[in-house]
Amino acid sequence: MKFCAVKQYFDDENNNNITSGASTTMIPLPNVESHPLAILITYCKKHLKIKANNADNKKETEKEMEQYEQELLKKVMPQELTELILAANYLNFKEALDFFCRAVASAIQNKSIEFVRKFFGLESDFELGEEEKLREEFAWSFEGVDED
Amino acid sequence: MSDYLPEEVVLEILHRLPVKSLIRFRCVSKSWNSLITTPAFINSHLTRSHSLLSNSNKLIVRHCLDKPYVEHYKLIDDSNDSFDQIQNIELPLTSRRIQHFRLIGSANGLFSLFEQERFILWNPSIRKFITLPKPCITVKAHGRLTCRPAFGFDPRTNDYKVVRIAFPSEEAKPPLIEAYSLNEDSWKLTSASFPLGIGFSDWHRPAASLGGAVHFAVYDKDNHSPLILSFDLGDEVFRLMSLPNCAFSWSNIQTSVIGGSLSLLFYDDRFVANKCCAIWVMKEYGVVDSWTKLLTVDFNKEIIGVLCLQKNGNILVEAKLPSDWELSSYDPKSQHVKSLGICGRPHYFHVDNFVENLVLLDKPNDAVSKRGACRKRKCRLTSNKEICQLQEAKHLLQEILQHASVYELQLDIIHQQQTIIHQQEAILLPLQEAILHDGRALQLQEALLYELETILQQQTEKIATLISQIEIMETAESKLVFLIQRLKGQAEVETMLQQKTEKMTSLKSQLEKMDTIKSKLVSLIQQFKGQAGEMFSGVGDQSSTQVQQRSSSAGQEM
Repeated sequence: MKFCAVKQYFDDENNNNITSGASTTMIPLPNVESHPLAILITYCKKHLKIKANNADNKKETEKEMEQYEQELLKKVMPQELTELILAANYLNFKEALDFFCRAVASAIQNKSIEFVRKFFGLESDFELGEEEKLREEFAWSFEGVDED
Repeated sequence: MSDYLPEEVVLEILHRLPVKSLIRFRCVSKSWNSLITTPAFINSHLTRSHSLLSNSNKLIVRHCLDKPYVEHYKLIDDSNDSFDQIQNIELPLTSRRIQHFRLIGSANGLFSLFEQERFILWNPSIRKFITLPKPCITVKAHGRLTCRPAFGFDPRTNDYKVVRIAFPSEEAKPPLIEAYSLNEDSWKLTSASFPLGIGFSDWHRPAASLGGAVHFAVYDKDNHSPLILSFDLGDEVFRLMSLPNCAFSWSNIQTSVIGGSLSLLFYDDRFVANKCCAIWVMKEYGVVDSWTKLLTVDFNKEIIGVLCLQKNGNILVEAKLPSDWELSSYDPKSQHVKSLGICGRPHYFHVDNFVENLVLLDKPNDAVSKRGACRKRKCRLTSNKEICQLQEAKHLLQEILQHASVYELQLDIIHQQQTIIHQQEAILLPLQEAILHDGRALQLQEALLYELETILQQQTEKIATLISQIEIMETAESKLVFLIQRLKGQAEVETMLQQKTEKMTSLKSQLEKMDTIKSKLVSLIQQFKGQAGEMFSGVGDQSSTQVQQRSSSAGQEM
């Protein structure tokens, strides 16, 4: 099971209830919204399906996964990515977390600082002059940055 | 977008960013700045970037240019045959005493350079360098030394170390060994004992750093057999490794790392015409029998050094081309050397696999450790320093004086040459002017000639038209003549006609006269007849004479 947190829950359940095997238990996931959960479930299903199809050929699995991931990215808004990351993190779904983190990284890689702050809802908490000093020292890293 | 991302999630994202973005994102917020500069993150970013596809096909090339004496570090894309340059970074430091720094070695994209007793660590990924503190083993403290340095990475402690093995001038004394640790930012003498009877085969080329140990090419002084001496950076112990019978020369061997394995480069220069280099690789570390020969590079009078293996199987070499020393690519199959257009000082080229590394980011710029130096020592050090500086200044002044006298002589020569040049100029100037003048005269004549030509042309045209006109006129004239003749003829005919008509008229008039006379005569005759008839007798003779007279006069009149 990819959703490790949920797996944990099931394991605990099985340990407590030896006779139980029913899948009618409600599993509370307080920190996950329905929308990202839906996407994660589809992602997981697709991942397992592709893996099953290409049981021996690892390269094929990777290639097909990549294609699916590219298409998925087109449908998902960049802002939704952070929700997805939080959900994947809470569920301990490693593959999805890796994928969405990579997506965010490549989205913000060449962007300006103001863009990144806006994206993550952060504010500059530097003291006066500290930020300027850093900018000056590493001026070369600000070259070739995408326009906002 | 106000979801608060937990730190672990932010770290996951940061780990997947390239170094340039990370440096820039230090300015996003204080928490991000501290996340990026913790040693733990610096180490884990490196371990994870090793697996990033984008990094595995890059090479970093160090080459030194002259005038100005600058070291260049070029990032090259080695994924295909075209040796594409991604970036060029210059070392923002110049050496003080020598033209270029000497390279000790490189590990994980970090370079270690030195000049006499000044050591530097330089990270081109973040364009930052630090100067190491003064080593423990110095010429001042220990007298003249011959030193063999090495640089390596210890993955067990995530530490970078610079090692110095210093041999004092007295042969009998064992060498002193010290190591600098980046994590501790200090030099420490080691108690490791250098094996006896061992000498270095290679003093200058970078020692291979692999698996947390640096490896030197050495030889046994007794039987001259080549060996590998390894110094473990973790437990600081020397170990010797023997080689199979692959070596034919113990004098010119270099250690290196090829494809992740320890390798040896045997430079064979026994035959001047046929210099070559054999590359051997130890497929299994520590197993003597796993040494296998990879290939031989035929120098062919062009190549002077072997640097690195490319992804496509070619070897990167230093080659002497007619104009310069250049980084070139050697194809082992065709033995053809292709220049890659990167020039530099010979034996100062270095190529290594490149990974992005954040190391040195958390160090203050130009960290010089002042730890442990008490004030008294400082004072003594500074006064010693001052004396040294004065001596240096004295040496420099002497040099300058020498140079100055030489320069004076040169200045004299230059002055003489200048006067000669002036004289030559004086001779040349009027000649130039004359030439110019002639030139101008020629130009004028040419212009005149041109004008004359055009005039001639016009005149010939006119003549031609005139000739044609004359021809026309001549034909007209002949026609006229003809006409005139005709007219003349006509006129003659006319005069003739006129004369004839005049004659005719006169004749006519005469005829008329005769007619009148005739009529008169007729009338006279009648008269006479009439008279005659009257006077038929006697008067007849007179009248007949009269008649005869009158008819004769009439006849005469007729």
